[in-house]
Amino acid sequence: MGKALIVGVPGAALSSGAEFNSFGSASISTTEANNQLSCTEGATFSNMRASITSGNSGTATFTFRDAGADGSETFQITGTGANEDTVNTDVLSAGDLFNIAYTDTGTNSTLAWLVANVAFASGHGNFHGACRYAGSVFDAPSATRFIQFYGSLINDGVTGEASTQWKARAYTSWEAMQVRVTANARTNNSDFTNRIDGAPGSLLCQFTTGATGLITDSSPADSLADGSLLNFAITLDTGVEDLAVVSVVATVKSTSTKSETIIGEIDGLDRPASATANYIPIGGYFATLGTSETAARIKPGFAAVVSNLRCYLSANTYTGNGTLKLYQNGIAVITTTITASGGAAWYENTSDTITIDADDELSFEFDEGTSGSITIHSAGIMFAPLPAGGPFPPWPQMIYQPIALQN
Amino acid sequence: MVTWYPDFCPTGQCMIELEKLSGSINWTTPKRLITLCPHHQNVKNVNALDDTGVFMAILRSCQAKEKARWALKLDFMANGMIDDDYISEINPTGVIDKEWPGARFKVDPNGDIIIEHGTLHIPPQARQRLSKLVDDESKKIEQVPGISRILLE
Repeated sequence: MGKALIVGVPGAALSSGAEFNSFGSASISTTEANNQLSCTEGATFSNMRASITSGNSGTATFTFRDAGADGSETFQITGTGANEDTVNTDVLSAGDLFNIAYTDTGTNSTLAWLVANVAFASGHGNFHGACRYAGSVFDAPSATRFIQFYGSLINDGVTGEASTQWKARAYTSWEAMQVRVTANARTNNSDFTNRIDGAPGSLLCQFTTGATGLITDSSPADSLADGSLLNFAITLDTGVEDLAVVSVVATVKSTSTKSETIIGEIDGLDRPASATANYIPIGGYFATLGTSETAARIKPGFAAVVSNLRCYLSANTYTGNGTLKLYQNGIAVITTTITASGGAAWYENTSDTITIDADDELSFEFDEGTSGSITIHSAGIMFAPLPAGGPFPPWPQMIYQPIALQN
Repeated sequence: MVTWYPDFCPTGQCMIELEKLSGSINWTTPKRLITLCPHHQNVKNVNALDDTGVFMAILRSCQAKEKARWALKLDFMANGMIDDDYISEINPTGVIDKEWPGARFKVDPNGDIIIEHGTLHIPPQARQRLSKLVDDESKKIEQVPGISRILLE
């Protein structure tokens, strides 16, 4: 029942009256329903925060929305910079719809991220999903396509499954999935399913002809193992009519109180080898690779042990090793080696860990490679609870270090 | 447990539990009406509908809405219409094409579904034709008690 992190990155400037949510995305929508997700578990949302990097000549106001009404969390940003509601929380019951509303008194705002913490009322877990609030059109007839566990949606999804999978380390069960459809001219059923290790799971969100809105499926849950590969599939029947999809989201849980954060770009983003480092946030969606570490920083908002820094590359022709690094308050603390000429693969550091407190800020860095390029689809880390006793060295160190100093 | 949240309740939110079958969902009758929004509760009461009756009124309304929106999209594509909101990396001109995600709509308090054209460049002379198109297409869906009217703004 600890906190987990949800991250959204608006792919366009927010204008007054815009609605959003802390997942995805490559686009925005001013229609509130398009942005509403179901809180499939009773949960408490807290510490809603955002960072505005440009625009906003006036004052921007962010408000948590619970079932179409203002919730408790709200904060304002004047000009650029970050702010957070550190006081209020929103307690949702299972099935409540939630989103975030934005208004401003000046020019539109470009955001680096929109973040919140979520703590399930029962057990520990998080929501992960792909969202594009303006809608992506799926109309490939008689085909199964794949959708990833993070980032944005693209028209028709993806034909190759590997680049949509997320290698989960934290989760032990897949509890629910939800899909929101905003246009449906199909003349037959459209099926969304969860996928585990390349095979169908137990969950099904089916839209009959002409049905729009949100569908959730919360039973039966599927068991997950350390390293399970997770994604979604959509299967369309005959016909080329539209199905416009805005969100496909999972609810996953961990019996060991772990969670994850993922950033991704389903099309894959090429990074030519370069001695100039590139930085991205630790969650949400990325369309470009930045060069400012400071701009990429996000505060997870809880103390944790961080591990399993990893990424999926669909191509890797680097002639020298590249690196994926985790930064903690501007200092590289974990490095995952992107082995030269490693090709399409997962690249992961399974041994190194760090401890963070609730105010630490994290970011990812891609660097080096000599020549050639990589195609980045996803990157992420796992959060585990601190050992009993809080953010201190384990008890053996606490006991033995003074003795060693005396000697 | 499968739950459907329709996206055209004027106020509040209907939540309908559907029966999950083997590899499918039963869309002919609801397993349970978890919540009806005030409008659809009124539709149920006024028309003396049972649970299946109001479920079919909701589903047929949704289908009529989608029938009309799809017909409009095909018309817009055929006539090269422009949507100011459809400016993206794919189509910076805003000309409606197959990847356009569809016309917006709003819902009146009485349950009428109004297809909006606020950001669309519709010639005045086309309005009457498009209104008739919306009406004709929406009525191709089985008309059941309590079904919503579909109108062009």
